[in-house]
Parts: sequence; structure tokens; C-alpha cells
Amino acid sequence: MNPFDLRGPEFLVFYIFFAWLVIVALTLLRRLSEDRDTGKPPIDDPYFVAFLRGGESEALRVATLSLIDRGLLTLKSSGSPALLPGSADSRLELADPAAVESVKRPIEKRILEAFKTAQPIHSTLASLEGCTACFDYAINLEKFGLLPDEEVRKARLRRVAIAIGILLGVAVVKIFIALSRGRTNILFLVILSGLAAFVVFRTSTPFRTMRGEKFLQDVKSLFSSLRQRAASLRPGGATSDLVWLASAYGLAEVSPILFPSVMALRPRGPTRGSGSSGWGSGNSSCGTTTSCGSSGSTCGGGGCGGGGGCGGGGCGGCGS
Amino acid sequence: MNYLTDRVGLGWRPDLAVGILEHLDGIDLLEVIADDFFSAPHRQIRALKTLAAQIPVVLHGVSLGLASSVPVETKRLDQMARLFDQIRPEFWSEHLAFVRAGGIEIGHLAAPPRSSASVDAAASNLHRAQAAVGAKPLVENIATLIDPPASTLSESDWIAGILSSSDCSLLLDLHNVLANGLNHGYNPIEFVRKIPPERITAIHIAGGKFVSAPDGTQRLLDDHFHDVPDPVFDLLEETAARAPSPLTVILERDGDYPSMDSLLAQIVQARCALAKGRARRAQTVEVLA
Repeated sequence: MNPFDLRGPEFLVFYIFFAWLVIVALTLLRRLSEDRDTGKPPIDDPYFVAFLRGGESEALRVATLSLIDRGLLTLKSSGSPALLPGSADSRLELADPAAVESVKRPIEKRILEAFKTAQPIHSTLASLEGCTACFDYAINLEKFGLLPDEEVRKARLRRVAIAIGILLGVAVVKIFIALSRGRTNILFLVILSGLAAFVVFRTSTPFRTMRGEKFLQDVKSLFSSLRQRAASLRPGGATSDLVWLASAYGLAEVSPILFPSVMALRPRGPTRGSGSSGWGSGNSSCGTTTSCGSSGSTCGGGGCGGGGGCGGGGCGGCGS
Repeated sequence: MNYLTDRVGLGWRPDLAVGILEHLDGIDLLEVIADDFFSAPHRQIRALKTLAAQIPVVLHGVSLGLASSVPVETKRLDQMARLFDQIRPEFWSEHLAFVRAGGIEIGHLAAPPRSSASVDAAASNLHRAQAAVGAKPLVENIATLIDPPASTLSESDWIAGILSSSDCSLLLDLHNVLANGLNHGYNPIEFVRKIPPERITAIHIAGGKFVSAPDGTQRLLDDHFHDVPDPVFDLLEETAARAPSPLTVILERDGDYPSMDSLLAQIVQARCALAKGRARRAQTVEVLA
């Protein structure tokens, strides 16, 4: 049976099945190629996990929550120290200048520096995206094969291009055949082929690699008891339970009753990790194509700024 | 087991996950309760593998009932074997106890009558376990609030008999030794001295609490809800002074979790006790030479 001889509706059903097969094949290929053993990623840094789960903006938010909980940052509004967790003009300010030197993780240090004076939360955190500390996490995640590196991204795009080429090719052949037979009802096939190409692209270029997906699931499994104890965590930073809960499961799992400041940190739009594009996805390769001076820090210009593209608000401190 | 030095680790409990993973530099290994993973989905097994990639892991069983007079169920041995193959731990261990009889699950570790018949039964079960899993288990002495009736052997002779018949090594639970010693009126140090030292390769340390017996006397309950008491560290020092092989010490804590700093302090205290015992042993060896 020649599928190109199928009538319109039958061919559309065939095309849906064919597209499904292509997507399954792409997923299997991705699973095979992205599940290589590339070392043992550590589970000792919550921001590493937060970055893997939700991208750099999520790592910055989780780190900020931890700093607030530990009393190193203070929530303010209009210059007066008042807790307005959900307020749009919520600002953060460094509680004690000496705290900058007391924290050990570069991402925390960078956040504290950014809030030396009272600053609006979301725009300030957005300006930190692409900074050296975030870049280091990205590089490490790529090194362990948890996020796609340049090679993986190219392989993905190659496979996607071939798959879309096949899908569109089949559609074009059918359209030619239909037109040659005097049939012009091709609109559904045009729409369907466009939709199939979109779905192929979305499902084949996720934020994490297969290995990254599994690692994140493993971390969540190891910390599953935290989620069960989320309602009994105590503020004050005495333990790292809060930061690990937020890192592994997200800010949505943190009780706003126990930790009111979390309301001010919850993302207002889609996060980098939640979409199909990712750190350095698409044509930009975050950090690997641009660098700022001799300090080794990398950001800004052609790198990955805001979630929508490159450069965004800059890194606000590159090279510092 | 190819480690060369004494090591001190901690029992893996999900509630301690954050503290453990943040302090891996202070913990030499983890002991995972094998039974928790017998029916676990693939995802949880993979998470355990990820954990084992971070730090050495050993498996500890609690429900095989190796000292039962009836053969251990093949299904349970197969579960242990499967998990052992998946995780590839450094070793696995189980208790010298029975946990079911006549089709009834007792729900805790019970001491069988200490007799030559139970020695033979335990040895038979241990041979079966080794054949099924592919590695000999370490066997652990248990705590018991009552002296098992119909016993004809002392606890130390009974354990030594099983170790000899099965050629297994011992996971010596020092809080169980302390509890049994206090509850049944013998000197725990003397008990440790009666155990063949060359068979001791792993140690459990834990804490418990005193409870009142119906006759008004006090009994030490091995509940793992309290800090390790000093007499257990004394027993650890004594064991380190006698055992010729490197020892793997596991701190067990099952609830009322203290801060991680407190647990790490007990690990440090265990290391000190080991060091003291090893120093004594070195002096003894020197004198003998």
C-alpha cells in the first residue's frame, strides 16, 4: 500500500502516526546519545541542583532565599524595613556589610554585593544572570553531561533538522501529488506538518540532557523526606533543609507561611529551565563564545542574559 | 573488603539526607537499610546508586531472620541478591535473630535459644544466603531484654560457634553488648574479650534509654534514639585494641535526630576511641615482639 495514495483524512491519520514515530525515534536517539557516563556529579551544592532544575535565574532565587533566611539580606519597601513579601516593589538590602566576606559560595557573594544598597529584587537578580558564578555552574553541569554542551546541542539540532526535513518532505510530496490530481484541500496537511515540526523541535531540545533528567530525579528521590517535612521546617538558617528543599523541588514547595519572603522571589514569568530552550540552547552558546577580559569571568554581550535571548541586562559586574 | 584503615560512617536515613550529603568529608561510608529497597521502584534504586557514587555504601538487612530454625525464604534472599547486584556494596550484613515463626511476623528482632541446634540452623541459613547473594554476610549480635529460654550456650560461645561454622565475620553491635551486659548481669568488656577478634570487621554504635521492668529494675533499651553513651566508646576502644583487621564503624540513629554537628561529634569521638585502641594494640604487639 502506498501511503501517498491515501485519501485526505486517512493520510492525515497516517501523518500523525508517522510524526509520532519520528518523535519516538528522536527521543530514543537522544536517550542513547545523552546518557553517557561523564563522571560523578557532586550532591554537595544546592545551587548546582537549582541551576540544573530551573536554570540560572532559579539558582539566583534559591540563593537569595537562603541569604534572607540566614538574615544576611533584609526585605524592605520604600526605605522602611517592612516585610512586604508579595509586593511588586519589594527590595532587598544587605543586612551587614561584613556578610559579603563571610559567605563561601561565589553566587551568594555576588548576590550580596548586588544588594549592598536597597535594590528591587527581580530586576537586580535578572541583572546577575550570566555572571561568573552562574557561568561556573553552567560549565560544571555541561562537564558532567547534565546540561547540553555545544556538541550535544549541535547533535540535537542535526537530528531535529533531519526529522523536520523528513516530516516536511513527506507533506510536500503528498501536497504535490494532491495538486497534480486536482485536489486543493491541503490546508489541514500544511497546518499539521507545521505543528509536527514544532512538536519535534520542542520535544527534542529540552533544557536538560537525559543524564541531567535522571540525576535531578535521583536528587529529588534522595531528598524526598524534605518535601514531606516542608511544613515543619524552621526559619533561621540553622540547617540547610530550606535551601535543599527549594533547590530540588522549587520555591513553590516552600511554605509562604513559614518563609514569607519566598513570595517576593517566586518567578513572575516562565523560567529558563521550564521551557524547551535552555542555558545556551538554540544558536547561542552561553559563555562559551564571549568572555570579559582577563579575569576569566564571562558574561554579557553575546552570552545568555535574560530568558528571552542574549545580553539582557548584562551581568552587572563582569570581571569583578 | 579491601579497605586498609579503620573507618567511621553513619546509617543512611532520609531525614538526615541534607546533613549527610553536606558533610561527606566527615563521613567515611553509609549503611543503607536493604529492606527499604527490596520493593522499591527502579527510580529509587537508581537514586541509591547515585548515592553510592558519592560515598561507599554497605547494605544492612533486618528481616531475613538468619538465626531462625527454618530456612530463610528464597524470595527474601533473591531480593537481597538483586539489590546487592544493583548497588555493589562493599559488604552486606544481617542480624543473628529470627523475625517470624509459624507464619507470624514478630515485628522485631528476637533471640533464638542459644544451642548447638540453633548454631547449625544459623550456619545453614548463612550458607544459603552466601550462595544466593554471592557474598558472605556479616552477622550482627542483637539486644534482648530477656535471656532466651532453653539456651545451653552463652551468648559469646553461641556467636563464636556460628562464626566458626559459617566462616562469616562479625558486625559487633556494641550498644547491644552493653545492653545485654547490663540487663543480664555480665561485664560487657569481658564479653568483647571472648569474641574471636579476627572475626570482627564491623561495629555498630548507638544509644538507648533505661526503662523500668515489671519487677522495678531498670533495663537498657536499644532504641537508637539517643546519643552514644561513653561505655560504648570504651567498648569500641577495647575492640580496636584487640581486632587485627581494619574496622568499619557505623553510627546508628533512628529518630529524635540531633543536629548534624552532634552526629559528627559522635563520629569524631568514635575515631578517637579507635585511635586509642589502636595505640594500645600497637604497644601490645611491640611488647610481644
